[in-house]
Amino acid sequence: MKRPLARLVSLYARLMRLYPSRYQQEFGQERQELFGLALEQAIKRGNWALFRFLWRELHDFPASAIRANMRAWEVMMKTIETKPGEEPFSWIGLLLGIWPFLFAGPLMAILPYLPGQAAQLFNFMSPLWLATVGLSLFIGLFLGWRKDFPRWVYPYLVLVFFIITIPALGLLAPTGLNRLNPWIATAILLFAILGLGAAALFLSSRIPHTRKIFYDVRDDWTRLSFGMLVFVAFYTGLYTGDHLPPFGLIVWLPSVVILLGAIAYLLSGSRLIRSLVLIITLGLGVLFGMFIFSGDAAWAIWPASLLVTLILSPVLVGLFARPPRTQVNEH
Amino acid sequence: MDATFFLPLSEVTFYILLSLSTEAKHGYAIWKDVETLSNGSVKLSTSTLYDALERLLQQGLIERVKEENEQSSGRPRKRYRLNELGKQVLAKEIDRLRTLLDLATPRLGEMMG
Repeated sequence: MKRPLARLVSLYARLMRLYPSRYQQEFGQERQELFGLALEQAIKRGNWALFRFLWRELHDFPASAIRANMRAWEVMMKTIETKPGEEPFSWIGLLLGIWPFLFAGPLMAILPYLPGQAAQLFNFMSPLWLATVGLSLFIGLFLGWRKDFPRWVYPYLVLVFFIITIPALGLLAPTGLNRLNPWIATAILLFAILGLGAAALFLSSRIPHTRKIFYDVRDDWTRLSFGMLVFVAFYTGLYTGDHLPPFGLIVWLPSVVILLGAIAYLLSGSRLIRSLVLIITLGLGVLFGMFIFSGDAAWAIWPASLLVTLILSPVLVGLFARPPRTQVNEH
Repeated sequence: MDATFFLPLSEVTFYILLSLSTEAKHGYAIWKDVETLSNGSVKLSTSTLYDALERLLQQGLIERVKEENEQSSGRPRKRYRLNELGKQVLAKEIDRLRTLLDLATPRLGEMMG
């Protein structure tokens, strides 16, 4: 092969790298050979034929590479999509799924403004709120267990996990955690929660009644993130300033955003969309929270960074983890 | 799948299927054959040819045949051939074109006076 011709073929081979790797493996070598042969023929036919040949190649190449990449992207999206119909939609399930968001968000935010309530900051010991949460958790967990732990039950599971583990996290208090640099303290708290969460997940795989939770989470990690999203509702429903803000947009809008995010998650049909919904809701929720907490910057930043890392961790695991090799249906 | 689902074929697809109707061919042979069949009116770029081949493989109209004798590079050369569905699609498209032609020919005669 003459030198200019070899150079063009080598340039073509380099340009083939713009195609997805799977396409390159399948057609790269063949295309390169065809290009070499066609180029030789065009050279033999003269300059005009060569010009027209090169023009055709240059003209069609970019669109073809873009189309191939888009097809590869579509295939990738399909592989991370959840099997359709794996969990039939039900309105009861949707209502049960958003119920924890209602008591963690709107109810908590609005309670201090109700007639008869002293205009005071939210108190976790409010009898009305405690009764609502206690009863809801009991009913939600019972129904979730009877329904074999569907997607909507995860906020309940996460809340129960935290109710059980908060005393354990309290053991960190005498270590002087609160006197450490806030970033280090947040990191220690984060690792403690992630460690306890991993232990709880492992434990669920060992108990026949809860084994399905383990396999479902392994199949779709966004379930855990959805469960933890309820804390964003808590975050936006708490006011730590000296005075309550006037009752208006700032009070109820964050809760509405989180609620809509929870509904969108439960209605989403693919894992990618669920991940995007979680990321958007988390981002908006944290932004609102930061705005509400603007009176106290420290209170705004540490819970926000903790929430973002905690909630995004399962989403990222799900996006980058290899799918399980075998589908285990036992439970 | 019903062969009519794929109709009408684009000009490029039609020529590629027509080229493969007689025997299995390599990419280069298809490329040359399309030019010959179309009297030089259809000249494919390598991108267009392989986009079409990839799509036809995905649609299940053609299949790959690996040759037993290997190339100097050590890779087995790949040829493409029409499968049953591909043959049906090509036949239906030719029927469709023939019907159109039969309909149009008398009108053309009338129009040209």
